[in-house]
Amino acid sequence: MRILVVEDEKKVASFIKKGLEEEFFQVDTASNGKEGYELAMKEEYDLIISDIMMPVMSGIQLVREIRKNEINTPILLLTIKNSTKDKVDGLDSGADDYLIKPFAFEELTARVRALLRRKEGKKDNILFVADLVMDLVAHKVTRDNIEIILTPKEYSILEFLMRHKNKIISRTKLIEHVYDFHFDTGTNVIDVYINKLRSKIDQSFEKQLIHTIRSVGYIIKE
Amino acid sequence: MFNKIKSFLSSTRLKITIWYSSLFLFLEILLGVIIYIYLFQVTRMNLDLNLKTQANAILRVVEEKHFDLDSFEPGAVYKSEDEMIWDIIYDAIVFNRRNTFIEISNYRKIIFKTVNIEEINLSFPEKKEKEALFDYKNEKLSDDFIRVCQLRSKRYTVIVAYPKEYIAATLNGLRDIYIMIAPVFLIISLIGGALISSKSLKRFGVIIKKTEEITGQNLDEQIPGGEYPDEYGRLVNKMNEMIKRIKTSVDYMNQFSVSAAHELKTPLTILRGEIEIALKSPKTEERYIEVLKSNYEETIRMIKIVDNLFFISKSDNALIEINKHEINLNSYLTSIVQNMKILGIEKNMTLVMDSCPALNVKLDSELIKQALSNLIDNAFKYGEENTEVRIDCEDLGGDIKIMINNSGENIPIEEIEKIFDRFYRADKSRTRKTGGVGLGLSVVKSIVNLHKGIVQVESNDNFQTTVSIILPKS
Repeated sequence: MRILVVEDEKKVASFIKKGLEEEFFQVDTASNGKEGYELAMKEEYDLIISDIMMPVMSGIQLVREIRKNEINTPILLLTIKNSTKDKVDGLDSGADDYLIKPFAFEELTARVRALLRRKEGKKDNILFVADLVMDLVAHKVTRDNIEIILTPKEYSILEFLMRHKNKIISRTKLIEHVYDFHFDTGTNVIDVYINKLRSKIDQSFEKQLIHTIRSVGYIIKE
Repeated sequence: MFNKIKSFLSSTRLKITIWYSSLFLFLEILLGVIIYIYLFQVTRMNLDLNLKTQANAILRVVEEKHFDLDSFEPGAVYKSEDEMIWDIIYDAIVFNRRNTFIEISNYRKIIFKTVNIEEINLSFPEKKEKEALFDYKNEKLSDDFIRVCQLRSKRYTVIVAYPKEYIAATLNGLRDIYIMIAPVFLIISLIGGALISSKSLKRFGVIIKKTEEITGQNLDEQIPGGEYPDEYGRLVNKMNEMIKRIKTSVDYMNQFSVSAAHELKTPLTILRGEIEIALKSPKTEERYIEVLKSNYEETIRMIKIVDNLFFISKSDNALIEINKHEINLNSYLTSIVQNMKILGIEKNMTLVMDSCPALNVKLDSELIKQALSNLIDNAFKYGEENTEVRIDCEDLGGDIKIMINNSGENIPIEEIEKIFDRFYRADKSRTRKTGGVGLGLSVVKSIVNLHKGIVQVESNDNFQTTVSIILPKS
């Protein structure tokens, strides 16, 4: 899952990025609304976290511009002001949620999960395909009740596939969502990770879940 | 209920009513007493005068007619000429409607008595004087004293008397009327007093109600009634002015605490976030050191914010004293420049001082150093990398101008006025994050104001921003 963090206070952006990365998210940062807008137009994000008070373009303006371009990515606003008017302005501009600084990081991740869940129409934090289960909060993956240990990148790829189960996901799309924008999309690194995932998930089981669609991409299905 | 009664008993309304009624009653009694005494005196004087006049008239008649009264017998037949005299006497008696007692006597015997004392065997005491007025008591005639006027001539003594009780009766009647009327007057004055006081005090009820409603949240409300031209209107106006003053300081405190909270929120967000993430899972030693370093920076930042807030608060409340002393401007600025140079290293910026005159000026060197440090700090913060920050001076005669110039993005004209506003950062229109500078500039302004100087900002489109402070030389 790929998240854009728009925040002019460098240190704030930096700890959010680090914290979210620990939660297996891929995070890009932008230091003002304009930069954030350009990134949001260019890349495909699963979620945008934006500060409100920023130079050049404020968070509210950013949300408006993004929504004007019919990008429906969930947006979480961070605000320093605890006034109803600010919350109303933020939500009315098209944001999905807000959080008041200083916030508990756990609350941020919980809200991030909730927004992603809502986007997919899900009600809990569990993804499953047949007997393969992924707990999004504990970051635990089990198959047939046996825990499978994954690296962060493997986890991200599996998460993305499982969130879109029964749908074919192209390599490009996978790369876009599991790597931040510094990544060179030309390599076949995805195939390497898929092979590793297969060996961990499918090898010792009769039923294969991850399938390759030749020259298109991958699909996870029962 | 009890409280209501208590507050009613201690209310000004009741007090005014009671005072008003008491005064009214007192005046009524006083007036009654005065009238009573006056009437008493007047009737007495009139009585004496009447008695005297009557006695004189009788005596004159008796004296002028030289006929023999000694042989006079009541009921006897008289000569015609005598009859006339008796008619006169009779007349004097008959037309005496007040029923005076009259007695005429010569030295030997009483020769005439009016009917009203005919049956009573009494004699008025004789006085030696020719003319005497005295009180005489005789139960047979009256319980009260009788006022007696006695006139003596060579041959006759005429006594005209009148019981005082008749005068007293008049006066007592007057007194009774007063006593009867007094409670009525008292009730009327109580009602009147209550009406008048409640009418004038009813408006105070409005003040009481409104002041009860006013709290820290609705200080923009006003007590109605300021348009009355009387004391009430003046009181209301003064109270409204007071509310305005309270509002100003409450607003100031609110804005101050809001802005203080805002200033502190960014470092707190960073501290909280970084610490939470550091604690979430084990990290490398380098990472912990990194977090601690960053936390330390944020702590310093918060200390600076708190210091600035404290300074501004003190300066706003006139708690800062300035200690001016003479310094050499050139060497003073040179040492500041030397100390501040290091701050430019990170962005590869240099701090240059142009020619500053070596003249002596009087200022608070500590405070001005703080102001200049803040300005230089800002110049580095907003200056482009690899450029220079220039300090320049200008002798304006009575004043000295110190300019700090940097190259970098210009401050929009509409924002220039606002950057010295301590609450600017909390302002809704703000889009440019000043990173604590809002407070720094407020401190600069406070310091310059203490020196009775001015701060100017020029930020033209040529990528140059100059902040100048103009201070009096002494």
